[in-house]
Amino acid sequence: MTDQAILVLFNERNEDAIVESRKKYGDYCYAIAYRILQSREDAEECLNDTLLRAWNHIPPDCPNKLSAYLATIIRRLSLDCYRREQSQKRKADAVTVALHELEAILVHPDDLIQQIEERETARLLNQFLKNLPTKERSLLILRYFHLLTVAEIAKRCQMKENTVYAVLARTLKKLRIFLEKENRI
Amino acid sequence: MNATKLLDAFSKVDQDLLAEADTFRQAPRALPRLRYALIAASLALLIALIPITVMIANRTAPPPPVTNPPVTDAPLPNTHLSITDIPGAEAIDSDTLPNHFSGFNYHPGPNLHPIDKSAHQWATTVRENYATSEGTVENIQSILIQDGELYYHITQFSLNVQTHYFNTNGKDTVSLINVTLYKKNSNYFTVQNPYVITEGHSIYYDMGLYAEEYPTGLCVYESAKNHTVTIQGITYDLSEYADYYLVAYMQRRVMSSTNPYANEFGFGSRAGFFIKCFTDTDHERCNQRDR
Repeated sequence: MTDQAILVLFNERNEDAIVESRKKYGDYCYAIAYRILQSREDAEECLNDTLLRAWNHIPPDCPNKLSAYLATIIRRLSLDCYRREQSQKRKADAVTVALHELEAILVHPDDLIQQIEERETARLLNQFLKNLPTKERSLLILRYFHLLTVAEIAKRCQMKENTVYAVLARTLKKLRIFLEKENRI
Repeated sequence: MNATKLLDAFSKVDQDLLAEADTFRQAPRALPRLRYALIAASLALLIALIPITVMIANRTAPPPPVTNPPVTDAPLPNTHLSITDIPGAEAIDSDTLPNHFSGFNYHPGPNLHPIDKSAHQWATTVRENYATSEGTVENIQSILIQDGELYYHITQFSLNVQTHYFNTNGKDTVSLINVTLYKKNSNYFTVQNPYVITEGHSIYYDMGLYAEEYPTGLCVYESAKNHTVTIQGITYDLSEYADYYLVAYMQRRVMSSTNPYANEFGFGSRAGFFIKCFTDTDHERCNQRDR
């Protein structure tokens, strides 16, 4: 089924949209989650959450690329899940967990500043990426969005591992210079 | 900013860019093609080795006679005239040539008829595929002039080549090349005779490099069609300077142990002489004879 057809199902509030999305992009999204979480159960849970979130946001959202839209959601959810688990491992006492739960419902002025900073960072990153050649941009995204290993990228893009290393190193250096100019580091 | 925030920022990458990355594949590498080209070149080299070996073995044998164009019924006054011996011959003054044509580097041998200032050496630099070579013609050892026509009888000829490619420089002298005498007429230069050196004609290996003959196509294009030659970035109308000019052209391939990719690049050098030797009267005489 095409993305357009799936989006029609979403817009019609037809639950087949979830089924078709899972059929078409379930493995793709699951792989992203699993690379971050290294846990089948957690990855599966994130996939379910992703589809639910898509269901809740389409409409009004109308993504051009459904795969990219779902990938963005599952990556965020997976990273959140990952941090939550790391945090719980480090601070397993009842008080900290309680505080953490409470923090989640509070909007602190610092959080607002943080949100603005995050938005600005994302804007700069997009600006940087758009000015890169396709190869450098794609490799950077595959490495730091999809979190693929260099070997996986090399295989997928039909390149030598050394070449991927070199391109990534060069691009990261450019990124550092760019962020320095923008006073972000 | 820390790494965590930067990693988070990737979550907000534009979705078009994500889609592009998903479909990104490196274009097929040229390496396989280069390998095939290298294999083909190696095979060609092996095939070429057979006549080369025979040629080298025959170098001690007497040279085959030089095939000159048919001589007309007029008796040859002297088969070894110098230009200055021809009545009415006009020796060109080197001052009338651009500075780029200076550097006259003629080395007469013991049995030579020097062409003196009527010939002017020129050399060009060819830049092709990251490699540069610059050559000069030296060591023309004899000249044969027959009744209004000019021929070179070349027994030895060399082209000094300075190569520059990538990180390695090499200097190497290569003898033999395809030599062509061009004659100017009223409208264009014609290839009068592909005048391939016979004696001393060789291709040999040196410093892991090899040279190969190459047609004079480039020269024909530059001169016959465009009527010009470009030297050091400046284009000259040859008709202003010469009635004839001698062109040597060589193309070689570089085999370098320090840079295997250099195998792939052929480049060439051209060098030659401008020759201004006849007055209009002489031309007319030649034309009448030809008719």
